[in-house]
Amino acid sequence: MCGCQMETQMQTDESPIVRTKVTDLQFSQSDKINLESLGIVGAYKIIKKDQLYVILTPQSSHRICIYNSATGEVTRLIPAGTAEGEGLYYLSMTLNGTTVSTFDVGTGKLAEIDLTQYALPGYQPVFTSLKAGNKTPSGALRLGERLISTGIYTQGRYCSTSQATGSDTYSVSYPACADPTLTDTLKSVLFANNYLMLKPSLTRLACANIENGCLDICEIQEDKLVRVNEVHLTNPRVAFNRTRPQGRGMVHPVTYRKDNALGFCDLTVSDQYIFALYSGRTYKQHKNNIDKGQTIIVFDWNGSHVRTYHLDRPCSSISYDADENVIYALANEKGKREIIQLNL
Amino acid sequence: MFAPSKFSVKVMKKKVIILSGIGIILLTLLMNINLSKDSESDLSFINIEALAQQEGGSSATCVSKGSVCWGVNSAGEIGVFPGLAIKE
Repeated sequence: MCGCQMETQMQTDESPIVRTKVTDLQFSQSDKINLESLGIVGAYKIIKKDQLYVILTPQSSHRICIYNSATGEVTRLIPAGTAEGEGLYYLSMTLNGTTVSTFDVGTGKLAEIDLTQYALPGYQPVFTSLKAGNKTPSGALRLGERLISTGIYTQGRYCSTSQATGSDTYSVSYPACADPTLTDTLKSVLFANNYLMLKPSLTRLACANIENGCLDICEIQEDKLVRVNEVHLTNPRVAFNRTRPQGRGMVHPVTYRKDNALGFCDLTVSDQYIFALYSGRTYKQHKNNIDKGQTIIVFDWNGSHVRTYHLDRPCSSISYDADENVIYALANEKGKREIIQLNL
Repeated sequence: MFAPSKFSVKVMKKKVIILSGIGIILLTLLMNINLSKDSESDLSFINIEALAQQEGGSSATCVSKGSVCWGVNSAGEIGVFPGLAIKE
């Protein structure tokens, strides 16, 4: 069960999953892609689809770069900004068929890029707002005509919105916490930041929390989700602020101690497995390198641990290629970013 | 005419100081209780556009990497900015 202890003095309590059924995963020496040589700076997440590499560059003038390895061309999409067709804060990407989607936490819009059309002159991604009904979403993806999102929701952890009718259906409770005084609002902030992925057969959803190392797996039943399993890798070292700021300041309702072990830094899936890139790093030790991992933990879609891969270099993103049965990873060491192949 | 002795003046002063101290403590406790009640009942997050991070009122830092920081202002409105909310 999750331990949302308030500033406990618990020692390191990382799950044994991180160190059992371990295999060292080697990367292929060939086919490394040096992103800076392509003019792609600040790569943060990647998705590989056929010959295309979709790269999230959250601090660049365009938030998405698509590199076509067959032609060598780089296409840039989603200029930074708040105007129509622009984007602010993207944290992750999801692949569904031939569509890559990415959610803008700043504007509350889901941007969807058709990988069969993106290179056409004048192409624009499709933007869909999830803020209707005064919602505050934190992440989203599409399932047919429905949009599944997480956010500052007190009615349930997940919201399934019908685009046709605009109706919202909330389902699944937040993980139970040791602190019984925690309000639903605080729980929603505690579990707001996640990586979301759909099983390719579209029957299940995986939700990997960034700060807390909690992996939630749900079955999709029409307009609602039902929890299948919940895995907690660490007890978060977290503090809650229940008071409002005075004057013009802001407070963070949920903050993490410097020795809190970060959870997941990316998620990729196949129809059989969930591959979760795990950090386990603390801000105290790693500072701004906290959001990288050298461990890929593999689960099946029932939440059972299958195996753990140890990598020989820190990576900030992974993407599973089903055709090749290979994981592509964005290696990020000392500022040098390369896309490498990890042979399973 | 009654003239208080030096000793009784000292005792009086001590009593005044002690009573003042107790009063300040009680007042502070009362204010904290009221603030807590307000914050619990009024933390209704209103959907607004992203706010820039503001100084003051926070004992946490939003460091630049890893996640999203969620902040709330005195009106109960939410702001988001990229980063990880680390407790100072």
